[in-house]
Amino acid sequence: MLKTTGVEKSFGGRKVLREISLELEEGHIFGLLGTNGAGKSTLLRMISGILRADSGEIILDGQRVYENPAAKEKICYLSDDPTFLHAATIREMGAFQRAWYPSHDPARLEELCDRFNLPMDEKVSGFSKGTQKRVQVCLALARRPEVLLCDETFDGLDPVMREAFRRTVSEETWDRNMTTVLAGHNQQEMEDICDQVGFLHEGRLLTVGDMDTVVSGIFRVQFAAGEPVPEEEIRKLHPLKALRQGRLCVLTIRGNQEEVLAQIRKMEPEFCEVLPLSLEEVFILEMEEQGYAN
Amino acid sequence: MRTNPGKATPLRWLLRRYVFLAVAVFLIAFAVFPMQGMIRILGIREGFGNPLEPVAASTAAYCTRELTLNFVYSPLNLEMLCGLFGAMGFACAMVLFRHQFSRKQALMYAGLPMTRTRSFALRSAVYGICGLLPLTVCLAIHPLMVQANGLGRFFDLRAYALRGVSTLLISLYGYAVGALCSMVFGTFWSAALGGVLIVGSVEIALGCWINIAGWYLNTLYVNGAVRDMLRFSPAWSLYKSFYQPADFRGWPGILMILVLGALTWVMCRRVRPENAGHTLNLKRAEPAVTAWTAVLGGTAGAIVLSLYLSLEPVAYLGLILGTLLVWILVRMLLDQRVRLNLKDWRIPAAAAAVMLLACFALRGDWLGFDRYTARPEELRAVEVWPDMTEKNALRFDTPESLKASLEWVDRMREEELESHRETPYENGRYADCVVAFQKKDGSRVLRRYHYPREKEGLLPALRIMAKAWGRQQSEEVPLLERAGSYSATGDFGMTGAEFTETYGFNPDSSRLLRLDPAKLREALRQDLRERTLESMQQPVVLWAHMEGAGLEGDPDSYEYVSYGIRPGDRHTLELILGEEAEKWTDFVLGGFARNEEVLVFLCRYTQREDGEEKLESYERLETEEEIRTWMARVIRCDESFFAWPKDPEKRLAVYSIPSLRNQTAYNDVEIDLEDPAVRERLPEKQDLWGTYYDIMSSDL
Repeated sequence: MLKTTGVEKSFGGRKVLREISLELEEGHIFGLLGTNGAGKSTLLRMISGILRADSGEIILDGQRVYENPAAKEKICYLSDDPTFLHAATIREMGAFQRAWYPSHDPARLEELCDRFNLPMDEKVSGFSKGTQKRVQVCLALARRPEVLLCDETFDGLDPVMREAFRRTVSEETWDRNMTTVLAGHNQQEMEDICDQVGFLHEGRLLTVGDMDTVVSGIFRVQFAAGEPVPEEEIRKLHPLKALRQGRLCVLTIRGNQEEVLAQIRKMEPEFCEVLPLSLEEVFILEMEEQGYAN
Repeated sequence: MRTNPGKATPLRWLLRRYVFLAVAVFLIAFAVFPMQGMIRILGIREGFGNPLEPVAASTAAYCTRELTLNFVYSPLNLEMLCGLFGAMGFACAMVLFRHQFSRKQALMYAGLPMTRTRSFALRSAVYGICGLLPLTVCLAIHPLMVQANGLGRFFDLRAYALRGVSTLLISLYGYAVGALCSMVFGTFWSAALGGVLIVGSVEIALGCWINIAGWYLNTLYVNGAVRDMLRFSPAWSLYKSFYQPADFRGWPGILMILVLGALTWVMCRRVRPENAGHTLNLKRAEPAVTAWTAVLGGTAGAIVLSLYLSLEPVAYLGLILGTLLVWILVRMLLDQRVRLNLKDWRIPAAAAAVMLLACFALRGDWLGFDRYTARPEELRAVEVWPDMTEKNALRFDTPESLKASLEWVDRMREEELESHRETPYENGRYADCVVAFQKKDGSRVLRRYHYPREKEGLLPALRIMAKAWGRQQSEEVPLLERAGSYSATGDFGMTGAEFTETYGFNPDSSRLLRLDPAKLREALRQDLRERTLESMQQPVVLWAHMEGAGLEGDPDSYEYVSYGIRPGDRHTLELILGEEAEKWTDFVLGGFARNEEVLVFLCRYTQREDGEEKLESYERLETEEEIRTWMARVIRCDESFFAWPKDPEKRLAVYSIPSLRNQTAYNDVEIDLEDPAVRERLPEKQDLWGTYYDIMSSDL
């Protein structure tokens, strides 16, 4: 289990992460959504032991991660900007990994490269950005890490490759009981493969939970009453957003769906229906609530 | 299926990646040691034929020197070699830590499962294998080649090994500087500049400030101060150890290597990988770097402007302008843009203020440097360096001589301070000397005094009291013991003929050649040690010149020493002249006056405005007693001239009529030497051969 407790980080006096506490179970894919500059990459770098937390703890299987080779061996961080050794080929990068990571499997690397059409003996620096990302993922999977941290990894891949990699990562996660964290802005992608999600904004983790809980935690309800519903009645429902068009009310509400519906039914509506929200809509609502881009 | 082989380790991977460093270092070192050595080996084989045949000791010594140490000199000089090996170490560090110059690379390496300490240790191990090992191999190849060529007996392994150690230390020092710079500075160029700053700036700043202090402090011995400070310079100490391997003094260098290594270790643990790629990785170091570079700029500005116009306000202006200019340059370098960031204006302002304050402190001698007076109870000895070098130091260590020398120093200091404030120095009227106060705690205080030459007469008494003169000369005597060949001649002066006439004995110079050199050296050494002030004030009665060649086997070496033998040097005189020594001394000191054919005049001169001397008057010295009195005050050798101030008005002229007859006959000069009236006016005939003696000043 990967656990962060009260993690904080500052750069030059500017606090970029505040009180981050998180628990990630094996065999799950955690989606980390955040606004620009929210601190997603910094958090992933801290989890992978690259950066030191100013305060708080990052523990993997009971061991501190920072400056702990045993813990760091189990973690693989895929930067949003793939980095390779100067003038290295995939095979040479594999040799580099093999020197540091005993779990690296050269055969697995060859198999992955073969599957994703990657030439082993060509210089990686000559590849396109998308191909470099493919190389990065193949190298990561060949290492068989226990924790895989992907920072906007699938951005820049073509839809076919993106789907193929998403599938491969999902399979690895479930088959090997790996802990995977996907950070980025692609909510649809996350909604598709993540089973846990967290929203990061201005260094704070706002929402964390199972995908279903998070997505269903906010819902939109649409109803129309015989008489216009008084403003006080609407306010009692604590809507995040309220839209009224004559007798039609569309409310976005955070809370227990059954309780809210029970309250609405007391208003004797002519019809009432719950409209599901996408992860993206939930995220936007959360950010709006925080005053982001208002 | 291939499985992960256990042999793949980080060290192996790093070695494979940086094997090119080993090849590069090997090629460079090979061009210096084995190749240069081979050229010398071939030269020696060609020059001396079969190396197995016996050779002269001097040849053997020459071969040893060439094969052991000198072979690396050509075509490179020692300074270039030191720079080369240091730069090799520095470049190795820059390559091994170059991931620090890229944020992406730094983050990638920081993510590896390895502690930072281990990462640093691994890279240092790689440097040891790829940087030091090839150098060691090249160092080892040379003695093997010497041995293989049958020249092993000419090889001094100890001296060679010591130079080898210095070579490795210089490379290691370069590596230590490079490693630290790679940690602190985040780009290649800033790290390179930082390296130069670390290695050279302290020495340069110290040298400049000692010179600036020399403008203000009258008694500062600038050269000595620079030399004293350089002893503690790591780079200089390693260079000196490389230059003179037998006299190892590279401890400051070793200490600095350890300090730099420890600092690098601390830095590699503290520097944040996310800062890599910035000009300065460690933001906290920025004020220190800015302040130090501002100080360097101000110092350089003051020196440079003063060279053009040596006025005090100009130096202050240069100091402020230099500080500002360098601060702006450093800011641009750190910010990587042309923008005057005024937020740190306090740093250059503080640097300039500190330097101006230092100038005022020096100007006003706030620390009492010029007024320094040593307390006798804290001193072990006082040394006076009359010619400003330690080599000819006069040492005073007895209670009496210490007291006398301190009194003399007090007077010189007063003269110094007085003369410096009242009048400008005039060439020739003043002399410089250095006084070294040797303290009981082992420390040494150096002061330079600038005193009027007319007070120089005080010095001889001190010289004799210190017995340093005799000791110094007696130390020269052993030089001749190391000589391959040896010869000696005597200079008995023009009165030799008259002496023969008087005593029937000719003290010709071949007497010295017939002597056993060992006996002569022993007699000389004994006399030189026993000299006293009184004996030194007696005139020289005999010159002994000795020359030696092939010292310590070096066929090109040559030594020449001359000794003025005085009546008090009885061992030497008796050895050379035997029973006739007493007669000769008596003759030289005035006994020649008994010969009627020898005429002695006391001449008086005046100094004309154009500097020429004019014979004012003269008088014939008639009696032997009179002649002996004046002969006792004659200065007859250069060393005495240096020590004893002469009377500018008086000179003794001695004419030998037989010699004058020879001269007039040979040169066809018409002069009636038999005419008593002519004989009485001989000093007026300026073109006649006579012996002219300077007279010692009575102001002693």
